[in-house]
Amino acid sequence: MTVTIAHLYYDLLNLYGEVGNVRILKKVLEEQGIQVRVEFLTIGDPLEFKNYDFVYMGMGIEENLILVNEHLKPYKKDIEKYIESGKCMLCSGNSYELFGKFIRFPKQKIETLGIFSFTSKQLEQRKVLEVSAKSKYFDKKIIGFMNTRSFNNNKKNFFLTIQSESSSFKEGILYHNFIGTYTIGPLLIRNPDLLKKIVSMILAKKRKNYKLKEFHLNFLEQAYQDCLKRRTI
Amino acid sequence: MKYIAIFISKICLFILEKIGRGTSLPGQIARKIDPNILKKIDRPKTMIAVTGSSGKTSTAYMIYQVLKENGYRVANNSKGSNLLDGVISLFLKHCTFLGKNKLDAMVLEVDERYTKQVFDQVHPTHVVLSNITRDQPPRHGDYKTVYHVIESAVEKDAILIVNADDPIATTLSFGHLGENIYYGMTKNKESYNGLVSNCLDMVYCPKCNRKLDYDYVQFSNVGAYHCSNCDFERPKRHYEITEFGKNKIQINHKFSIQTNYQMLYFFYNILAAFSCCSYLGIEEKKITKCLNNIELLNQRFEEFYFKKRKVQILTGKNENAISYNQAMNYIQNKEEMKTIIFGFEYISKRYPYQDISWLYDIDFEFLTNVDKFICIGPFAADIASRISITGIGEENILMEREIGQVAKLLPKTKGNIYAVLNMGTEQKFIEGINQLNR
Repeated sequence: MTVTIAHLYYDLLNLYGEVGNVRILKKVLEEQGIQVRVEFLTIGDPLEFKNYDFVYMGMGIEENLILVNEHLKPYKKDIEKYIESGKCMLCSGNSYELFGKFIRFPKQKIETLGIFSFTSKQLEQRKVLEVSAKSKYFDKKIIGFMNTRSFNNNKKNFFLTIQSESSSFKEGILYHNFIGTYTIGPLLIRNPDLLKKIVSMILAKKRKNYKLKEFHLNFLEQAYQDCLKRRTI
Repeated sequence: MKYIAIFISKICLFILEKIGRGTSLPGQIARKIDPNILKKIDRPKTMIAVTGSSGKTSTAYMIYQVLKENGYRVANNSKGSNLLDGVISLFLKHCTFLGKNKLDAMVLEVDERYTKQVFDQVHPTHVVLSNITRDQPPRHGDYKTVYHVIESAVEKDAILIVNADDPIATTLSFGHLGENIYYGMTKNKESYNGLVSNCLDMVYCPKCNRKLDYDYVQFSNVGAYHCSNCDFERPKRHYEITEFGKNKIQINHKFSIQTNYQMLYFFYNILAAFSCCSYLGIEEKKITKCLNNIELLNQRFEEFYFKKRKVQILTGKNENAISYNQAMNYIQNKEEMKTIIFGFEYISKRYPYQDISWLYDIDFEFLTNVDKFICIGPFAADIASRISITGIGEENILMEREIGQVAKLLPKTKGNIYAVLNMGTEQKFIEGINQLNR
């Protein structure tokens, strides 16, 4: 069995060490005895969603998001089919805004894929936040970091309930196996349980009743525990 | 009124300096008394500002040294603050009670995100722009945010002295109405043939969005670039490092400078300082004489022995992947079997966030012949997680959260030791080694 990972726009949406997510996924899948092919794709490359088992996109600056949007739009139907079929896709940072209706930047508004009904807007102030959150997936907290200048008005299918010192709010989107979140950076490395969940989702889609081998994520588990100890919330 | 504000502020400065708080507080007080205080103090004729994501302190300090040794009455804020209040303090220190400036030149290191605020007040005649890269995102946001601030700050009659090899910095210079002076580097044995780094900011043509082509890359996206689709390309260099020797570099085939620092980004700092001073009209021989083996604050390169094994400590004011990548690049070029120690006590002095995403922008993937990789400090497990995806086997990755205890792991390891230490780890590490060396 070969699993194909598509790292979309690796050279345009790459502000926060996103490649780490792809590398850890490849490593863990290989440790399960599975062949992995990673396709690093960007504008100018043809996209073939039917061939992918996992799609990943990271965070980018405004100009790059606009470039990506133009390249991605013709694939709307393919992407919808991909998501509806229950295949797994993870968008960290502002890239998940591309799946809403439009993004309003200070000087322009761009029409985006419109797969979901929310719209996004760039704000004056950046929101910088240590993430400590609950998800539907498991009891353990999801940890991470957020540094965003934009926000959206999504009202349903939230991915996370984020607890911060001052407030608690819902964020992100979880629809079938599509995950979008403003949490950035190597979130699959920082959250070994999320990594395991995604591996099992990918493999369940590949073959019914796939039997997973034991995971060896010693360093990741320790880093996760260390982070919880440093945190107050 | 004008003189009263200067008078009071100078008295404050005098007192605060005595108690060791003379860097930014006097400026803050002066600004409270008179928000336009800087308009009331003469500017020196030559007002140099050094800004960019990295290399500011070293470059500004070198320019300052050259000017000083060549008879300029000159001041520099390298020991103080690089924000507006620090700059005001420096002006106050060097003016008379009547606001007359006593200097020929000032060399200011200016925090890139505060360039607009500072330049609007001090109006630099020369701006040295080292580079614009991702750096401390919780503080600065993304590199484009920093770009826009600097772009709006540089005044049209200023001379812009720019790193030609950085496509982001040159994009900014192409929109600059005043004169641009460019510096850069030719291909050398550390150059790559194409983009290879994990850490890439702009790599697309800012004019036509085609991916840039590179003849060679020095590091990240810095190198000899051009667009195959339009006329965007690396501008011609007025000053260029043309030869790279052992412990020396040569500029424009003529001017040799001895240096103990062996990393490319440091050569850029020397070159920027040389370019600025040469442009100011100082004779090149006098500049090289002054820059030869210059010793810098914060840039240490220590070497000693631990049980017959060479230990090299590479430290810097590292807060971003670009500078760490220089250390990695240096180690990568050492072909022997080696043990690497890597860690930090905290992520930043300036913000409380635990963003570790920049660890993934460091090119650990290029390391070869690593016997053991030792991850140290409170973030040891995060570092070990990062290293575990590089291809270095997990059995060769060790962790030690107590930095003072690291030396005890060394007998289990082989080869020369390279310690990339930062943010409060260096002293503890050396003490630990010394205890075992006794």
